Amino acid sequence: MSYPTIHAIVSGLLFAIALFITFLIFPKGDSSLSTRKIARLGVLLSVALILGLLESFLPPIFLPGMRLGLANISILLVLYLYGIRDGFFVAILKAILVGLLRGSLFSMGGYMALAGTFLSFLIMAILHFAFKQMSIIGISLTGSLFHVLGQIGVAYLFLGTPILGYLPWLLFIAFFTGIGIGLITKIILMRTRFVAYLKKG
Amino acid sequence: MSLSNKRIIFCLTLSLASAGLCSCSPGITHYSGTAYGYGTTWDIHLYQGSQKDVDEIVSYISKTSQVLDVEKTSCVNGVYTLNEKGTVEGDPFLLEAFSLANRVKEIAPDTFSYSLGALTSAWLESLDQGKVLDDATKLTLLEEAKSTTVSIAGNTITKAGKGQIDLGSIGKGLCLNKLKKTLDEKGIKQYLINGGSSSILVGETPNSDGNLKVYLEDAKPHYFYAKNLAISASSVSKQGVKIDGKTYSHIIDPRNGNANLGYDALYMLGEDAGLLDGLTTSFLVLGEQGKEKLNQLGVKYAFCKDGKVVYANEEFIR
Amino acid sequence: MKNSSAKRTHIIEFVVFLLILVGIVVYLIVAGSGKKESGVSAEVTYKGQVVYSLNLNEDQTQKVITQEGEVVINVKGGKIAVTSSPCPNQYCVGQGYKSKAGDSIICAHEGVVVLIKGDEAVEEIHI
Repeated sequence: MSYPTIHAIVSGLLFAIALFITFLIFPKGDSSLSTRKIARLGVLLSVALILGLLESFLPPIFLPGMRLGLANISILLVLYLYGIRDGFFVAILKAILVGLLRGSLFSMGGYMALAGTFLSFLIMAILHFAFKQMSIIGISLTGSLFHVLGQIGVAYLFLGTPILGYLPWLLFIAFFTGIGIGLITKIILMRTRFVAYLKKG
Repeated sequence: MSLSNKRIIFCLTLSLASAGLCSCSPGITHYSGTAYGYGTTWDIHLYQGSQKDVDEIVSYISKTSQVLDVEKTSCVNGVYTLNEKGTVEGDPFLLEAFSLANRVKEIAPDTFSYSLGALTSAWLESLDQGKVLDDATKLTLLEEAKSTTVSIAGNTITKAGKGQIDLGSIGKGLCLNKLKKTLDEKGIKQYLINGGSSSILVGETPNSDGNLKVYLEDAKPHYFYAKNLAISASSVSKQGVKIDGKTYSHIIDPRNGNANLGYDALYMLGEDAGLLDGLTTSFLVLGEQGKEKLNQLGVKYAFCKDGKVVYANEEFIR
Repeated sequence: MKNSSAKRTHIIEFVVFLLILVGIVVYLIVAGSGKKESGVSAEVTYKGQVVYSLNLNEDQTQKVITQEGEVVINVKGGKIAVTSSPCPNQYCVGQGYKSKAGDSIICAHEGVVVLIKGDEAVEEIHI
């Protein structure tokens, strides 16, 4: 497949799927859209953005777009406190905005980030709501692994089979960053007053 | 987490580990070599047998090439001697070459000739200077070629006439026929012998379906799959020179001595490499008029012009 | 009641993830220790198209002209390396000289992939 074709297909697919799923499939979380809630979500999105931007200035590992995933702290918080739809919005918006701000949205790195965010959020949402007893660390860890899978998947379309050689190494690293992020999020969630403040609608 | 979920994850882990194990697969045996003969470079690949088999093929190609070489060679019973002295105690390979040539001549009487040596050289000299060969020289040499005959009595070959014998158009094919016999005797089924991209003998490749993918240079990016057969390609593009919009090459039409043809290339696939080698050039020259006869031969073929496949008798090209 | 079932779930999770980690590590070890033969040629791909097919036995230098700049590839003594590239993190340059079949040097930022090939069967020819 020619490069321009791959670009078109990947970007088209990702954006289309994002829109489709958001509006048609995800159940509403907290359906009341009060001003307070919008503000809180905005803050959480900004936090995700800032974290995402900051870590984008650090050199990526092996491939463009392989970062620490600090922004996932914020995304996980939104998922846990506000539900799937809002969580998905924050996740996708973060990926798009960081891509726009860094000028990498319509490049292989941008598509990788989108695919990774997409897959990771999907699996985290499914796991969280299907297995309610699953620990946040476990969910964050799985999300981290799937993020890598999404990124490598897109990189494979652009670069071919050799890129798959990086997969085990990246999964190995993602394993531990996922645990770290989950740990941090767990600690935040344990601060009950802060949590209540965030949820107050 | 329910029991079935645990099982799923366990299986996933197991498959990850086994994928790692599978990645260290044994390599395929591959013996290869390069040979020089019949004016071109040969690529030999054997996936069975041994390196010694490859070396034997290399030396066979080189040895038999000397028999048909029109330049002075170390072979005293070959074409060079025949042209120089008018008679020779033919090397067995040379005798077989004439026999094959006669078979080709029966099928394509008008457009196959092995006496065009001098005419071909004259054309190539002239094309080197960017000029079309003048009619006078062309017709003289053509007459000489047409009036040259070869008679064989026992092992003695005698030439009558001024034409120069050149069996180059069937040499590679005959060599491949002989090599195929040897490979069959040795039980080697996976091989590829590529004689300068114009005469190819392919057995099976060591992958799942055994097919070799063959790309047509004269009709990019088309290709076809081949297995256990001989491929012959005759093309003007490699040695072609364009003058006044017409392409001239080393392929001469024995009927009129011209070096520009209606088509650019002809690809043929079949069983008999020697026959194909001679026929491909002859039918490229014949062009349109030869299609009926070609269809009777039971081979697959494709004519190309201007980078496209203009006619193929079967849908074997993708 | 609730506590012990939560604890049980956590133990299951822990075991599962441990297995996954072990799987990854096993894969890394096993894949890395596989017998690797020396490379014979290298295929340089840019944007999915093969731009060079280099013989590793011939010392040479080739350049791939990409949108961001030039990626310079050098073959010396049977080994190949990316000697210069406009990537921001220079990861591809840092990989040095490689020579094993199946190894690759990837300049992900430019979209250039150098893949070292071993003695494989001839799968296609051009006539």
